[in-house]
Amino acid sequence: MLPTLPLLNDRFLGAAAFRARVGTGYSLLPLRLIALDALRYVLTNFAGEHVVLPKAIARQFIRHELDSNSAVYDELKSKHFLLDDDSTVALDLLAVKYRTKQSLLANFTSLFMFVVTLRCDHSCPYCQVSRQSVDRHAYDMTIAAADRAIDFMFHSPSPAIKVEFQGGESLLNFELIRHIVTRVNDRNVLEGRDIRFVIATNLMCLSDEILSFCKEHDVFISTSLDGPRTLHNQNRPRPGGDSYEVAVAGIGRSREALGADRVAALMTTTEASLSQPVEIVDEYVRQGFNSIFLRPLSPYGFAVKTGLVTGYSIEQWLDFYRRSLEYIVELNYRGIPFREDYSSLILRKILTPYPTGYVDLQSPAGIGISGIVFNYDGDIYASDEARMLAESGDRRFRLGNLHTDSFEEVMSSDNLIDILSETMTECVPMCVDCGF
Amino acid sequence: MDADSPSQIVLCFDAQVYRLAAVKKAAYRFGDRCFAEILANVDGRIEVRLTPKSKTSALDLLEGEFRNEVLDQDLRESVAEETERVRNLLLAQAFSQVSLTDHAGESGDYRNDPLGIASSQVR
Repeated sequence: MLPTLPLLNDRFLGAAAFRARVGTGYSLLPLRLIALDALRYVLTNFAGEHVVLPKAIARQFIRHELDSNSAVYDELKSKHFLLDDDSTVALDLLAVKYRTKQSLLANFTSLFMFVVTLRCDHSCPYCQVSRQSVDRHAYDMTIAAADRAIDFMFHSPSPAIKVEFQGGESLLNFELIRHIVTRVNDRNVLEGRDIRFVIATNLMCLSDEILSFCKEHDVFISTSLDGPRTLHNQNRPRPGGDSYEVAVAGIGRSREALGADRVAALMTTTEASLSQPVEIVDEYVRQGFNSIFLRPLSPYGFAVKTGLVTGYSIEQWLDFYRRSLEYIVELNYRGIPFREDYSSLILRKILTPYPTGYVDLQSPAGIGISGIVFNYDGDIYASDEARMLAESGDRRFRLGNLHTDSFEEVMSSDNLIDILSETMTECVPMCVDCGF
Repeated sequence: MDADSPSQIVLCFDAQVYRLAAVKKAAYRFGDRCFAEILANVDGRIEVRLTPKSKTSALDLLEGEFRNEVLDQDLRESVAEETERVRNLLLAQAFSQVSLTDHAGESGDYRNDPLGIASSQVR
């Protein structure tokens, strides 16, 4: 006869536990609500869970009048909107989900943008940067500033670090990029961080030497592609009027040398783009990309001077975005897997407890604490937009200078902390109540 | 709106039903559309005087929307009041190194089996 084994913690409760519940005893968990339309509310909570309810049902729920046998009760309970006697682990789970959502905060700054030069051969009217002509070397970052930036960067506790080279046209100062990559890698032998390099470039100066360096050091390429030839060349003028040809050839060469997944492209929407959503998406598909990030113009730099920013309204932009997205959905239905990156970020936020790391959409904002910019002159900015704003005269978001300020001074400066606290939706009036 | 129409509307809310904070928040929310003056405790009522910033605003529409907004804000206030303690506990729990909600599990003696891990749930 087999010995009787002790019964340890059983997986299932007894049948009584599953019988219909009686009574309406439940407590509310913290939640935010906002009207979706005349008849419905969206309810959201800490964990980023959401539920859409008819207004009458939502009011019933908040007044503790909801029937505990209803389907909506179970949905609210499973998504942590209410707590009852059965909810033994709900608070722990909710706390864990919230901690997961905020997990990037613990790692601190992980994106470091080096503006290696402001020089550029292009003269794009929408440029956010206030570029300088190709021969003006005074607008290059010095080796001394770069070395201080590297020291600064390794002060961040983040186990994963992304080094992004920006411009101007960053490859016009490739020698400095080579210096930085080599020095960072040497230092990382001891640091042991997970480091990734990205060069943002228009690919004009791409050479075999640069590609072989990128291959050797696993450097990613990020470029600009605004759409079909005519649109791209109109948006991005350069001597010869062949920006499109240069970009497409460069994308091909980079993919061949580094692998398809090492090359990404970004687009900017101008007034001329608005009538071509399908053509723009088609161009990305034709060039072998499986996603596009639809971006409106940013109100900085040359884009302001040239009046481009006022070139179209928010409504026009949204209409463009909607039409592009509809076409992308259609492509997917036709069996062509293609993604719109901004929608992906939003959906990830709506549907999962995981953080996106997208600095524009987090609380507190990612300025300084997720990403930071080292300008060519050693100035430190809270974000790419901050240095662009400074180029047009507004230095409010300048956090310090590499030659005079330490990591600790910059990160604990009133300047940064004041801005951060103003971006915390947890405590800003109106934001604190907003369901979105 | 013609020249004879009133340029201000006066709304009253029962202070027994609506919280003052809810009325204030609604007025703040409408700050882009009208100026608001709030008088608390007018015979047990909260009185709100709304003056539209634009002459073309339809006053009856504004009144309806404002009343709805006060309802929404009051609902939020009641949620906030009820959940304030658990909200603070959650935030503390989320960023704490030890569990604040499971005292026995964190600090109990395993020999006493405070969570009943070694015993059957079938009685």
